[in-house]
Amino acid sequence: MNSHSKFFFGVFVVAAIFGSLPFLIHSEYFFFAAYSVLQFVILATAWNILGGYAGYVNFGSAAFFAIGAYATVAGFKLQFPQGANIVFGTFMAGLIGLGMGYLTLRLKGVFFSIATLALSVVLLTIVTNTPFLGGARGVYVIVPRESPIGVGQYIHWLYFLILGMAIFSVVVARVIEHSSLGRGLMAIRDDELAAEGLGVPTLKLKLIATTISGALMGLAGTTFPYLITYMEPTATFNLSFAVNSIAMPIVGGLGSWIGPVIGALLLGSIQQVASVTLSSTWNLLIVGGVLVFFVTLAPNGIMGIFKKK
Amino acid sequence: MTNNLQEPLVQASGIIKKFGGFTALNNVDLIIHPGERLGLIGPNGSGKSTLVNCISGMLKIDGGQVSLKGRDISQLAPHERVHAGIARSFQIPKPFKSMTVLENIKVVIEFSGNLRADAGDNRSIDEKALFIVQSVGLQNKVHAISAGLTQVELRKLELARAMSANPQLLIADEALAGLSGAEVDEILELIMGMKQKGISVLMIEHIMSAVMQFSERLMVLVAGTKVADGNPQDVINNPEVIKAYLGE
Amino acid sequence: MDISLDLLFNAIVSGVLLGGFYAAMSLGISISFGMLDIVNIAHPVMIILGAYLTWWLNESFGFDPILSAVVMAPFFFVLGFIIYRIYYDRFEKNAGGDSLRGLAFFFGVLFIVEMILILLFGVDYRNVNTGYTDVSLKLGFVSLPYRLLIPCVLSVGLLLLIREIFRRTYFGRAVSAVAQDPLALQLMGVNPVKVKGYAFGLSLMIAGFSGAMLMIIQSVQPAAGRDYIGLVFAVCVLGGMGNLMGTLFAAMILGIAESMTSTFAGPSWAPAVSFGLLLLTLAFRPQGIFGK
Repeated sequence: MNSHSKFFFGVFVVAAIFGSLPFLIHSEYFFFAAYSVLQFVILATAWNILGGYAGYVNFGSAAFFAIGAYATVAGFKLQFPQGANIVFGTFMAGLIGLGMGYLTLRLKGVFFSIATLALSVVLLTIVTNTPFLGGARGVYVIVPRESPIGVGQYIHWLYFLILGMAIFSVVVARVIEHSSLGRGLMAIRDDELAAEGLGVPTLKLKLIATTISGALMGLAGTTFPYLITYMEPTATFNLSFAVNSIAMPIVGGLGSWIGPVIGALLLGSIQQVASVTLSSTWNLLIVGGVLVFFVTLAPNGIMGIFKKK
Repeated sequence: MTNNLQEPLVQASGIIKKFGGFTALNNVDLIIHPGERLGLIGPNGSGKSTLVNCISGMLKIDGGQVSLKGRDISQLAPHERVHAGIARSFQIPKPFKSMTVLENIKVVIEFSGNLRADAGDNRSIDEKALFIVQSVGLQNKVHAISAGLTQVELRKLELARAMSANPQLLIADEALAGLSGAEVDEILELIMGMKQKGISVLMIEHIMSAVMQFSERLMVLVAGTKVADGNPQDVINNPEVIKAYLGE
Repeated sequence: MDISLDLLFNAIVSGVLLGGFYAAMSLGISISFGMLDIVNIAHPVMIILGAYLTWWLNESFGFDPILSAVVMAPFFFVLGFIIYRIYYDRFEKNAGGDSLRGLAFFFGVLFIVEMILILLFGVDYRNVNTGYTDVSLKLGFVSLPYRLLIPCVLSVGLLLLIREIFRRTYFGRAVSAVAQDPLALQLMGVNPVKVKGYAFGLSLMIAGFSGAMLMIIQSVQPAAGRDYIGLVFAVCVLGGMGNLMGTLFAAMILGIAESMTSTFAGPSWAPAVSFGLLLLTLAFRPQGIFGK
């Protein structure tokens, strides 16, 4: 069996295992927690496409996530069906990713990074000042009582959705990794000047990566309103998304689709446990500490540690 | 023997490049013909690397024009010029550090070499890459991570990558700097062998013995201005050239 | 539209005064990012750290913020020196272009400091009241609040002082040189790493000073640093990376833009001004107004 078949077999097995959980586990809380962890899998995987493969740091994961979430809010208010909202949010996030990339990717990488920080604040300000999206007070999203698939609660439906999105993101990441796009991005990461000077269309590839990365982050956000039901800006633009999107791939290992998954599962689960016992402040302090620890002492992450052995 | 009445392959005319108030290149002309070996020498800071950067597209020119086979390429991005047929090696080797020697070359073939491939060439990327690795003598390091190569091996990889783009003009920017005698001969042989493949080579160098061996024509740049261009023996006996090198 | 001239004038004046202070906030970034090429996005949280230390010194010992600025200076200098040594050892020495890890490092530091501030001081706003907090200098119909005037004057003074230090002293010229030609510096017997360490220490010292000034101007809460990230980088880029006078003018422009926005469009739009300006600058004139 070649590596592609192995991968898809693995995906199938994972999907089957995770997919059967709603029939085996009865704690509803478990699925809220699992949703959060799977959401991080998407964010970390998406971030890694630009960060790990191409070497461009995006501090604005929260912004792209929020674009997806608020696109759903808008769609909900306009009474669009859920599926349309998901597509719309993903598309909008990708579009903004493309736009931002177009404005800043011709400059040094650090300017792109600073611009992504700026994006979060600009969007937050816009949302806060837009009554249609709830403004500073927030807006309610009404979710049906029953699950649309007839089985389980609504949370289970959301769980299936986010599980599907997570698998989709990982598949996208892996496809990119093994394609010429991925190889081109890694050349850019290793030496952008040399890459450009040897025929790699660096700007085009960076724009594609930024668009896909932004779109996937937006995808993760599109079902968020249905989960929390009450959308207000500070929860959505939560910097926890930004720091975790960076910490998880670094902890797990940049450069491959596996790292973000490991980092998200590990760090995400720890935070779920910690948020019950500790305050969210301690939680973020620990994540920050873990990030600094790994980036200084174990820059290749957990995957890097295993590769050495 | 090149026929100077031939159509030029690459022509840089009236190149002007300024950095703030400093004029690095002042109305410089450069012509290279198909299959020609052109040497470019000059004291440090005379603008040789700047000229190379202008031709390859890394720097935008403030005046003049760069053309390839009569077509103006002055507005093309560097990667587009590679696709058109101009490849360069870097003075200080810039390998894709996380990749192996083979992967370094495969990337270039994938993004450039294949675009310029002959219609009849049915080899896979792996086969083409392996062939190039062997032609520079790096076959025993094919799967070695490029970050761990020695200086000479890095220089070979640098040239190999430029070759992988299947260029019509290869610019070798001080490819011999810092190498020992035997190593210089090795790399020089590779560079001189390009002619057989029909590739023109523009070589910027300081090692005069190598320059004289290599050059069919020699050009001298001093303080951003061309002071000589012609038969290598005539050029090095030119009083202005001697003054520039031995100082005033 | 009937815009009161009074209101307009006062908005501009506030903007100018605020701009002077913004110059101090951005001065540190002009040095660390503009001159040394270190992307310290944790700089604004260091300013907030300075603000909280100022508050604490005021609560515990009754120190006036200006006094606190002086007292805190050695602490921030040493802190900056240490942080740079870690940064250099792990990210600059061998990396050669791996800015990703350096960025992630400072991002982590930002979080750690902010969370520690929350744990130590809580999320409520803290402020310091001095004898001059609510007093204004009145010149005709223009009102110059001392809480804006004093930080502005001190900030501009500091900037001019630093500028002279960079021009006249050996250390200052070494810092200007170290970014452009570290090898030449080494050949002259100067250790570039040490010079950069001192310069980074200086940039953090200025951050601490800015924090003290911030405490005079308004109350702070731990997350306030985030609002200023865009601001300091916007000023640095707009002013032309490392150009100190450019930083001052860019800060003034930003101060006025923010003040006008706040007065006429509402304060909730103010944070977007600096970030929006940054995005525009990066998109259309990345070398800044005064850069080359």
